Order: sequence, then structure tokens, then C-alpha cells
Amino acid sequence: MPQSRGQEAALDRTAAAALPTRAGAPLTADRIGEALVTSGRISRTQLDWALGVQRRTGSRLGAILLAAGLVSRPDLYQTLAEQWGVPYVDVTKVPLGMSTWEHLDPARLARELWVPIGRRRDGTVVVATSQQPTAERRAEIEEELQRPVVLMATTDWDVDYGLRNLFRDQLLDAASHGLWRNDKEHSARTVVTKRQGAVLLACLLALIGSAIAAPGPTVAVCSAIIACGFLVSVGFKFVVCLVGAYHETFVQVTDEEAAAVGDAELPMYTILVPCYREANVVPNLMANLAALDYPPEKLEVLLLLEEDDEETRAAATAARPPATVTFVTVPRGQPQTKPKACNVGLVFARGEYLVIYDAEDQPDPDQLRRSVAAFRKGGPSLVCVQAALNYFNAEENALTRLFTLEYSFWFDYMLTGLSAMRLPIPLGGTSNHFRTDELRLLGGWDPFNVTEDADLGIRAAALNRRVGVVNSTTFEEANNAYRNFVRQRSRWIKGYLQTTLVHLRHPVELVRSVGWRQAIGFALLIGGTPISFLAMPPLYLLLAVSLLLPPSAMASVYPGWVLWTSLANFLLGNALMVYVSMMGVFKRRRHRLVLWALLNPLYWLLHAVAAYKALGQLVFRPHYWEKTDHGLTSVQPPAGPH
Amino acid sequence: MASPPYSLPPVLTERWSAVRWPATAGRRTLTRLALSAPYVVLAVWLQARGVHSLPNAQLERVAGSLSRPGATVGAVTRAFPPLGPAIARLLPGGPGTLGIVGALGAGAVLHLCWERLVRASVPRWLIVLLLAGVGGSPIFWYNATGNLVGFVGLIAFVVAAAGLLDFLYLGRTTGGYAAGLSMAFAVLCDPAALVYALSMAIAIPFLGWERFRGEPIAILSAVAVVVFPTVAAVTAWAFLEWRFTGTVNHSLLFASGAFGFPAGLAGGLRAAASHVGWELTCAPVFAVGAVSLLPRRPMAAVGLLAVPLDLVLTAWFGLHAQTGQGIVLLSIVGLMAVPSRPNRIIAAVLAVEAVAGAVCTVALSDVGGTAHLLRAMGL
Repeated sequence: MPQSRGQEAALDRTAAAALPTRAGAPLTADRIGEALVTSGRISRTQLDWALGVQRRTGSRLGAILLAAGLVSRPDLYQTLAEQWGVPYVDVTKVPLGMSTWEHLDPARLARELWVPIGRRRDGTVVVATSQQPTAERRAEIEEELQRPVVLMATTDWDVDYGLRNLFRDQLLDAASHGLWRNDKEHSARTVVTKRQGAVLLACLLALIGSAIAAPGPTVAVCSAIIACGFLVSVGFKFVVCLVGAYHETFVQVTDEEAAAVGDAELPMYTILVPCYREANVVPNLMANLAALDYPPEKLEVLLLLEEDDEETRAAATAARPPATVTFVTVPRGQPQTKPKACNVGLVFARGEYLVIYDAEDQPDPDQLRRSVAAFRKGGPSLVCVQAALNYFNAEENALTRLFTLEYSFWFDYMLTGLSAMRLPIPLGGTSNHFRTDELRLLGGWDPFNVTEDADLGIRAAALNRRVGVVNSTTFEEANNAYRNFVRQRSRWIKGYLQTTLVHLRHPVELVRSVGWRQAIGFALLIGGTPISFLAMPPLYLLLAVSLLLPPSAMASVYPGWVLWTSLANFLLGNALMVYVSMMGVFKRRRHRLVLWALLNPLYWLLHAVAAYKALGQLVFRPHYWEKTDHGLTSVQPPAGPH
Repeated sequence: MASPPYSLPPVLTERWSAVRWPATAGRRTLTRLALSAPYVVLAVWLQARGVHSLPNAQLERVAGSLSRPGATVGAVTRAFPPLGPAIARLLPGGPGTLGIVGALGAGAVLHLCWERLVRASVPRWLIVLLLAGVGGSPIFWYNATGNLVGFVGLIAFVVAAAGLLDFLYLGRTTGGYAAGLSMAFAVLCDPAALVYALSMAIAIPFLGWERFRGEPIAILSAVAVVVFPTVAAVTAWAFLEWRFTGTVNHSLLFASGAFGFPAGLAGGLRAAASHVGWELTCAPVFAVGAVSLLPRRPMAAVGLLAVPLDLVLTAWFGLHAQTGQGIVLLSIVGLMAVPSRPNRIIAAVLAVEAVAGAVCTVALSDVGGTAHLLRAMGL
């Protein structure tokens, strides 16, 4: 949209002071600090304190003052503007138009901290930046824009605001369709490829044909396949858990290693917190983030708020977040999913590392430090580490108990085992820590996959990157309502089905790229999990029938060996899962939950319900995001570090 | 300050390899093979001379009956414990091969004991002496080469016991898995292991007394995680047996001749106690181990009493039939109970009892299958 003459005049007035022909000397901490003291924005004592922090952490003085709330962003950047000898501009008050900037990459601009905010009558482009406007910088921007520019100072928030408004459609499109455009083969936008559809159809027809021609043998063969598939899937998990247990004495990052990473060595860390209709948990979020043991000036918290979610935005504003928290508005558009919001957040992430937390998460205070140590220890091929998840409301009701049993074995044994065996790791919903640049190279999250985290872990493996685990825990709220649980679980299972279909589009290529072991591991874990849940009802039915009828009466359909094997597999599989669940909570020292593991077969029935719902949704609403309600618990999260 | 119950357990900085002996898997395998070599030689020699033990020959017969044409699922379901016949079916070569497999297992058992004694910082000379006292006895030879089912059950029990100690003393859940799964394996090899599992369950509160002081629920859950695999295995088998044959405990108990009480209940109990007393005499290392443990871990020492109690029960119930199995079991448990860094007095007593135990077992082993073995060897 072309700018009006009024807009141009306003920009001209704001840019009245021309840039100095020669860039000023680099700013030192003393200069900006003294300037802030001189202007009365901070006191001498505050400056001395901040300089002390700077000596310890190596952070920028402005960032320290901001994070501590001693100076506001506009005050800081206005002082910087004076130091830099350029005018200050409040981007939120400048009318923005995008007519000629479509060729620019907003992600790059976000990283370089500049945004074109208008054009003057003489064709000069007015650019707002929160970086020192040196001559080299101006030259780079002019080269990018192919026009002379006038640089003005603004805050980093203003740069982001400008980018979000100028490039709204571009951001939305990139967040929603970026992966699909760049790498269709790894996107779940297409649910089933033509070839997969043909294979599935052929299998279905063969099944129907054989059921008509020979119903008895068909039932027997299917039953045997289901029972064996169930046992193989469960057996695989059990073996991985044993490997995980075997490696329990290997600590990814020791306390000493975590403590050895000095404050000065800690890099900038971005925390993405996607929130949607979670006004009730936002106050807790602020408290939990404040408990993190990490220099606050090196933290960048991006609160990802959907455009239409005024309630959460109001709650977040009311919580009076510190200056390290930035609200990022996620443009409204389909698919309205968490991964899409995360992709928008990724554009604005400036940390060397990045982590996702849910709004109700309570991470171990040293989790970020430990992750930094894990990345340094793991070398450049390690692109992501997953922290363990567990629940603070474990003993609220039967469902939360069973959920805790499941999470304990999954995160404390399974993921450790997968990591030790160098098998693909499906990431959990939160507390996945990334190298930000590598995450961008991987293409970010797939907004069409409803378990985008699990998919990303597998995609990383498929692209020969390594995903590991870190010995730290994030405590979450366990789902305590059955319908809510089925909704959540059906999304997870649908996501696993999507992920299976995506990564098995070219099985031969998958084997070639990751090898047999990883490919089989992926198939058994990601494909096997939904299959084992889907297998539960037929196996339960078989058990019920075998209780009612003697084996001889069933012999016409089920030969003795088939029935015996099916029942034995079913019993063995359930016993194995009960056992690992018991051990998982024992390891967590939640001793009161150990015997609850005996109810695991019933818990799996709930999974079965969710699995069939997921299967139906995969066919009819493949990209629909079943929203899980949070904040339902009546249990207060424990205060303080664990 | 005690950490909250849901936090990660205390960090174990020690790598597993640091507590294994030898440190590498390859060397451990070589050690096991070296330790089993004499028994393998003995088994091969016996096979070459056509000497077969009764238990192994019986096992072959059971395995053979399962492969008869027309055998039904019900017949398989009655074959409890199933692992013995399954092993026998898988291995070609008849009872001789079973003897060689048992002989290989002997190396594994001795290695496990050796490793535990090394970790307990027992002097090397004493380790050699103690292991020679156990492994050098004809009863051990016989069980290793002539009683595969019983010996595999025993190996599983030893693995379970070692795992249990790691689980309870070091907090390693790996040990819990080893204890639970090995006990289930033992039960599927030898019905007598059912009572071993019971003794383990009884011993856990005593062995874990220090670790779980003031946490009765923790003790209960420790018992649950250790016995669950055994209970699950037996229950599942019983269910399958019930559905396919109509009986629940036919194969489990009566097929092994248990619960017959031919001498009456009281008479049987007296005989069983007397029998175990004799076994304790032949395994003085058990008494020495338990007594030396008393000052440091009194409750654990009391917990060890579950083992002879279990042997009394197995003998009383008639589950425990093979010659000297109890002696081997008591000796190995005694070795596991040797306290860390024994002082000179304890070391000297252990050395004396190792020699005395060897003499006892040689002197008292001229019975049953062991006598048959010794005669075959010309001793």
C-alpha cells in the first residue's frame, strides 16, 4: 500500500537529524551507563550494581538494566539514540505500509534488528534499528534495499512490532506453509500419498476378499498378527526401557558440569511459550520462569499469543511480566496450531539456544544451564536435548496417577534407552531444547502435524542430526479429566499416525539415510505405539470370549495354537507394561503409585478409545488440533526448586 | 535435607563400567569362559564316556514328549516349568549338551560372585580361596553338569540376589529389573524358585531397612517390583493352564511331586529342618557371612535367615529334590553377604571356613547324583 504524503512528512520530521557522516566510536558500558545517570534515568548505585553484574556475566549493560527493571526500553533506546547521534522513533506510532518490502525476509531482519518503516519524498528509505547504526551497517542495509537509507534508533520490541505488522501475511504463510513449500516430503499437509493410498487400498481389498472367501482362517491369521504385533511393539519398548535402566548410572550432565558453566559463558537463551486460552495459568508461568537459575538479561521469553485470544493477553499483561518477556502476536489463520505459533516465535528468536515450555510448566531451575552443558558436551551434531517431564499433581485422582506412571517410565527409561541406542527420539510436548540455527535448518515445526514435536525429533534423525536427553525435569499438570484426556491422547496418537505416514513415504530412502536399526526403531516406536493401542480392543474381546467359551468350542475359528499364542502374548505384553510402569515410579520415588500400575490394562483401554478416535480424525479431520484444557487441577504446584 | 519424593533420585555419578569387574564386556566374557572351562571339560568328558545324569535325561524325555506328533496345546500348557523343556528342545545333542550348557553357566555364577567380592574390596587371595571352596566342591560340579534346570534356576537366583543388593543398597533400578526378571526366569525353570522368590520378598524389608527407614510404603513397593514378574509369570501360566486343561495347579505343583507330605506334616517339617541343618553344615560360608554382616547391617543379617527358612519350606513342600542344590545356594548367598573391606579377623575366619566347607562338601557329598558323578570320575 503506497504511503500518503502525510506519512512521508511525518517521517521527514522524525528524521530531521541526519546521520553523522562517520560512525561514532563504539559505545562502551561506561558511556551508556554514564549517559543514563546523567539523564537521571538511573542512579549511580544502580549503575555500579549493573556494572558488577556485567563483570560477572559479560552481558550488555543495557540488557542488565532492562532485565532488572531499572530502566524502560524507550528510555534506554532514547539514550542510545542520543549516543549514536540519530533520532529515536516509536515504531508503534508510525503508520506502516508494505508496498515495496515483500522481497525482504522478515526472519533475517529480525535477526539483524532492523525494519524499514517508510520512504521519504526523495526516495530515501527510513529504517528503524535497535543496533548501533554504523556506516558498515548502513551500507549493508542500503545494499539490501537498493536505496539510500536514513537510520533511526528504536527498541528491539519496536523492530519486532514493525516486522509483525509489515510482514503479517508473509509470517503467517511461512509459519503455516514454509515446511510444505521447502520440503513437501516431510510435511503432513498431505496425509497419504498416492502410493500409500494404493497400498492401503490393496491391503483393505485383500482383507475383505479373504474374509469373504475364508472367514475362519482370516480371523485366525488377523488375530495372530495383531497379537504378535502387540507383543513386538511392547517388547521393543520393554527392551529399550531395560537399556535405559542400564544407563541410569550414566549422567548426561553432572551437577559439577552444570555448575562449571560460568555466567559469563552462558549464551542468550530463547524460551517459547505458546499460550492459547490459558489465562488461568499465566500468573504461575511468570513465577516459574522467574525461578530459573539463568542470568535474566540472557533470557528472551517469547509469549506466543493468538491474535484472537484477548483473555490470555489481558491476563499476561496483568501479571506485569518483566522486560525479558515479549508478547508475540500470532496472526490468525489456518491451521491454528501450536507448531504454527512456534514457527512465528522462531522468526523472532535471538537466542543461541531455544526451548519450548507450556504455560503451566515448572522446569527444574538449573535446566537451561544443564542443557547448555549438554550441548557443549554432545558436540555440534547434537541439535536437541529433551528434558524429562513429570507431574506435580500426580496423586490427584486415578487418571493422574496412571498418567504419572506412564510419563515416569517414558521419560526416565524409554527416552534414556532410545538415546543410548542412538535411535530416533520422539520429542515430548515441552522442554525440548534446540540449537536455534539448527532448528531453522531443520525447517522448524510442521504445523500440519498434531504431534509436531515427535515429528521434529524423527525428522532430525532422518536428516542425520542427533537428539539426546538431559537429566533435568519439568513438572507439568497431569490431565485429570477423562474426556479431556481422551481428547489430548487422540491428538497424540493421530500425530504419531501422521508422523508414521510422513516418514514411511519412502521407506527404502529412509533405510538408506538412517540405516536399518534406526528405521526399524522408528517403525516400532512411532508406528507400533498406535497399533498397540488399536490392538487392545480385539485382544480384550478375545480374552472375554475365551473366558466364556472353552477352547474346543472356539477351535473352528481359532486353532488351539493361535488362541494360546494370542492370549499368552496379550498377558505377557500387559505384564511387561505394568512392570516398566512400576519401575518408573519407583525410580521417581513415588512409591505410593507403584501398585497403581496394576491398573495399567484399564488405562490402556482409555488409550484404545483415543486411538480409534484418532484413526477417525486422521481420515476426516487430519489437521484438526484437539485442544487440551489446562489449569483444571485443584493441586497447587509446589513452590520453589524441586 | 531429604529431597522431595518426586524429584530425580540422587545422581549416581559412577558409571556402571566402574563397578563392573573386569571393566570391559569382552574381558568379562573371557573371565566367565575361563571360569567355566573346567566344568566344560568335565561335561565333555562325561559326555564322551556316556555318563548322563538323571535330571538332564529326564528333562530330555519331557522335551521329547512335547514334540510327539499329535501333542496338543494342553500338553504344552502342562509342561511347567516351561523353560527347561524349551531349552532342551532348542539344544541338539541330548543330555550331554545340557551338561555343557550348565557348565558354561557355572562360569557365569562364579564370575558374578567374584565381581561382587571385588566390589566389596575383599583381598584377591581370599576371593580365590572362597570361590575355590564353592566351585571346587563335587556338589557344585554335579549341579553344573548334571542338573540343568535346577542350576539355571540357581543362576537366575544368584543374578536376582546380586541385582537385589544393587537395587536396595545402591538405589539402582537396573538391579530391581535384574532381581524381578531373574526371579521370574528362575520360576519358569524350577518350581523351587517360587519359594526363593518368597524368601526374597521376606528378606527385602530387612535388607532395605536402612535405605527405606521410616518409609513402609517404599518397602512395600520394593517388594512389589521385585516379586511382580514372578507373580505375573505364574498367574499367566496358571490362567492359560486353566483355560486349556481345566486345572490350575496340576503342572505347577503336583507334577513336580510337591505337597505330597509322605512323612506327614510334622514329620516332614522335622525332616526338612534336619536336611537344611545338614546343608548349613556343608556351607559354613553362609553362617560366617551372616555373622560378619551382623555388626554393620544387623537387619540385613536377619534378612539372610529367609534363605534357610526358604530351604526348609522347599524341602517340606517337596519342591526341592536335587542333591546339594541348597548347599550351593547357601554358599553363594554367603559369598554375597561378605561385608565390604573385611578386617583381618573376618578374613581369617572366612579363609578357614572356605577350607572347612570344601572338606565338608567332599566328605558329605557321597550321596545321590553327586555320588554317581564321583563314581563315574573314578573318585
